[in-house]
Amino acid sequence: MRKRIQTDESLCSGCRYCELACSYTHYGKYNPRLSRIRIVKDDEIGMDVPVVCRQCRICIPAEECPVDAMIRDSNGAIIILEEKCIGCGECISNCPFGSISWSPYVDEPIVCDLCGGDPSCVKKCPTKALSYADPGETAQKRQIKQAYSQYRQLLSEWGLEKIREDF
Amino acid sequence: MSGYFGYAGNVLRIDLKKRKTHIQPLEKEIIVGYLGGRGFNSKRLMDEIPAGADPLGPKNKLMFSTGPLVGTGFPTASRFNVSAKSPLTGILGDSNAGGHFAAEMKYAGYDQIILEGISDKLVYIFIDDDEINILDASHLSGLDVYETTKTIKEELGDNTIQVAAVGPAAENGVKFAGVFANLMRAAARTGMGTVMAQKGVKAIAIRGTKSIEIAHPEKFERLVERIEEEIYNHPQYWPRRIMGTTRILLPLNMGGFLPTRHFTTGVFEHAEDVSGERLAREYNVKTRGCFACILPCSRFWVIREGKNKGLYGEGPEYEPLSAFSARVGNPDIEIALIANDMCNKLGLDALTTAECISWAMECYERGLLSKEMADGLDLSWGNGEAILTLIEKISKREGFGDILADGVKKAAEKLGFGQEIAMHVKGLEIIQADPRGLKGYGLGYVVASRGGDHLRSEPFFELSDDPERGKELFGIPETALRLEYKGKGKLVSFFEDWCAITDALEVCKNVAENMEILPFDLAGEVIHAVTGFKLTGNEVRRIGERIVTIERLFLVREGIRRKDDTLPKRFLEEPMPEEAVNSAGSIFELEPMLNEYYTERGWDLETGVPTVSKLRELGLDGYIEELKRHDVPLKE
Repeated sequence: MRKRIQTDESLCSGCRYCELACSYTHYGKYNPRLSRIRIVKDDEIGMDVPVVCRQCRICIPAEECPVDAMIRDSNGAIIILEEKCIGCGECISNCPFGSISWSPYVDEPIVCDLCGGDPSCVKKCPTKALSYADPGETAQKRQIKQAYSQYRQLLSEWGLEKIREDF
Repeated sequence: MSGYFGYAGNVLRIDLKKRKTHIQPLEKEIIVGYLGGRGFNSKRLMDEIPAGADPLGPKNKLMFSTGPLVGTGFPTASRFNVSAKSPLTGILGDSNAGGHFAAEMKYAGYDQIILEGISDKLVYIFIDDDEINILDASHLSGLDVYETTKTIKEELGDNTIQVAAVGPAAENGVKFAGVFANLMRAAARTGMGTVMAQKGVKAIAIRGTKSIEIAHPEKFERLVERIEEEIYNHPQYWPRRIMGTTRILLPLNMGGFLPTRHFTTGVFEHAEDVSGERLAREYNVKTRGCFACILPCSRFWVIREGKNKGLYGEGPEYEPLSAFSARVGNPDIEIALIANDMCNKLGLDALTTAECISWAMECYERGLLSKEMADGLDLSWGNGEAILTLIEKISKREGFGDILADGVKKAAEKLGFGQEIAMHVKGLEIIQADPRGLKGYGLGYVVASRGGDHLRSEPFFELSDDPERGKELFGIPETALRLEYKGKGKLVSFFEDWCAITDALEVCKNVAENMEILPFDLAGEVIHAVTGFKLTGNEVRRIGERIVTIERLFLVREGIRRKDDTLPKRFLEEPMPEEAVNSAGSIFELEPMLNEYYTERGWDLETGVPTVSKLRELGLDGYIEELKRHDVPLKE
C-alpha cells in the first residue's frame, strides 16, 4: 500500500517545526503561512493537532476541480498544476479536512506534495508525532495494541496482571 | 523582506496618547552593537527613558523585542523580552518569555515594538502586518488572561493570531503583574504587565504573513543539523522533556539549598511529594513546546482524582512549583498547581507572589504579624487555603493583599517590621535557590541588572563538581565547586555575557546556555549564516558584555552603587542549618566575591560604577557626559 503522513495528536507538542520545514523546503524561506501542514492549537486545553493532506483514495477537491488542475503523482500525492490552476479556491472548500491552504505568497492553493516521497516535516518532527508510513502497517500495529490492552483486562481478572509487563 | 537577513527590519512605535503609529527602519548600529532582543531594549531604555522618570508616568516606555533567529528554523528561537523602567524596583525592568508571540511579531514585520505615552481609556492593539489598529477594550476590563486572549481571538475571528495580555492584577495596579503570551508564557518579572496596564493597554494581538529570509541557507542548514544532533543526544534531553525544569527540585533538596519555609532551611521534608518526578508520574498527560522548539519541556497536567478532580492546566516550571511548596512550607502539590494556575490567570509574577506570602508567613510564625493584620487568615506554614486566598487578595489589592501588592520590600517598609528578612535584591524578590548553597548563583542575584534573579547569569558550571575542568576553563578549580567563593566573580561575568547573548538572540536559555549548546564561537557562526554579519566568538562575547554594561549604566544613572549590590542579612550572617547536610554551615562571602567580580568587569571597586576606560573599550564613552550630569562618580 501507499505511504501516507500519519499524525498522532497525543505526541504533537505544537512546536510547529514542521511548518517551518515545509515552508523552507518549498520556498527557501521561513513562513508558517506558506506551510502545507498546519498545527491547529488551543492553549487552554493543551491542544496541538497536525492537519495535512491524507491523500484520500477519492480526493473530492481533485474530482471537483473545474479546470482539472489537480493530479496525483506516483507517490499518491495531490499535485496542483500551477499552469492550469485559476485560483478559484473551490478545492479549499471541498476538502473535508481543511488540508488545502491558501498561500499569500503564490496567491494560490497549496497542498502537501509529500516532498516527492521524503516529507521534510516528518524528518524534522521532534516528537515523532508525524510519521510517513503505510496505513496498512499502521492499522496492524494498532490492532495488536488494542488486542493486548483488551486481553490485559482478562488477565487481570485471572489475577495475572503482573505477567508480561512488556506490553 | 527588509534590508537585513534574519531581521524583520522594522521598529514599530505606538504613541498611545496621540494614537499615532510610526514604523522606522531598524538601525544598523543597534544591530551591530546589541544584536537583538534584550540588547535592543536595554540600549533604548538607556537612551530614551530619562533618569528619575516615574515608571508609571508618561515618560516610561514599554518595549517588546525579539531576535534575529526567531521565526527561522533555528531550534528554540521563540522568545521575546519585555522591558521598561520597573514599577516594582524603580530600576531596569525586563522579562523574557517564549511561546508563539515573538515569531508572529517577526512575520508581521517587527523586531521591536515600543509603546509610548498613556492612553486615556483601555485599549488593545491589533497589529495585522502593516496595519495597526488601536481598538476599544472596555469590554475586556477585569477579564483574566485566559478570557482576554480567548475573547480577542474570537472577535478578530482568527485562531492563529497571537496575543500577549495582562490580567486583572495589572489593571488593579499590583506592582508585579506580568505580560502573558499563549496564556501561560509569562514575562512576569519586574512588573512589565503593570506598566502595560498603566499605559491603558490590555493586550497586543498580532498576525503576520511575511517571510523571514536568511543570508546563507546552506551554511544555516548544516549548523542546524549539527545543533539538532547535539540537543537530541544530550544527556539532559529526556529528563527535560519529561519533567522540564521541575526536574531540579529533588537535586536542590539533596544539596541542602532548596529554600524551605522562607529560607529558614535548605531541605524540605515533603520534597518527594512536590517533585517533578511525582508530577510526571501522576499528573502530566502531554508535553508541549514553544515555537520551533525541539526539546518541548512544558507539561499539560490533569488532576484525575480526589477533591480537585477535573482541574487542568499547564506548567508549572520549577520556580513556581518550588516556591508554592517548599518556600511556603506547603506539602500539597495540588495547592502548588492551583496557585501557579491562579497566578497565570490573574496575571501575577508567581515568584514574587510566593515570596510575599512566604515572608508574611515567617512574620506570622515569629509573632510580628498578627492574624488581625492579615485579615483573619491563619498564615501558619503551609496553610494551602490561606495561600490561595492571599493570591486572590493580592490580585485585587484587597485588605492585607493591598500591602503585599507593592512587593516584599515595600510591604516590610510599610508595616515597619521584617525588613531584614524581606528576600529581595534591589526590590526584586529572590528566586528559589539558597545563595548559601550556590555561591555563583548568589553572586548572580547580587549583581543582576534587574535585581534578585538568576536568569541574568545562571552559572550552572559551579554544579559540575569538576575542579580539573574549572582550572582548564577559568584557571580556577573552585569555579566548579558550588560552596567555594573563589573564582565566582570570573565565572559570573562569563555567564552574564553568555545569558545576554541568548537573550539578544532570543533563544532558550535552558538549551543554549544550560545545556551548553550555543557557545560564543558557534553563536558567531549562526549569526553569520542568518544575518550575514561576520562575528568571531570574542566579538559575540563583547556584545554580551556591552549589554550587561549598558544595563549597569542605567542602574548607576538611577543612583545604584556598590552598597546596593548585596543580599539580605540572613545569607550573610546565618550559616545554613545542620539539617541541610550538604550545605550545612555555609554562609555567603559577599565582599571577596564582589571585589573579584568588579575587577573582572572593569568596574570601580569602591562605587561599582564602570570605569571610563571600560566604557571606551566597549564604545560606550558617549554616555560619559550624561552620567556626569547625574553625579555618577566616574574614574579612569
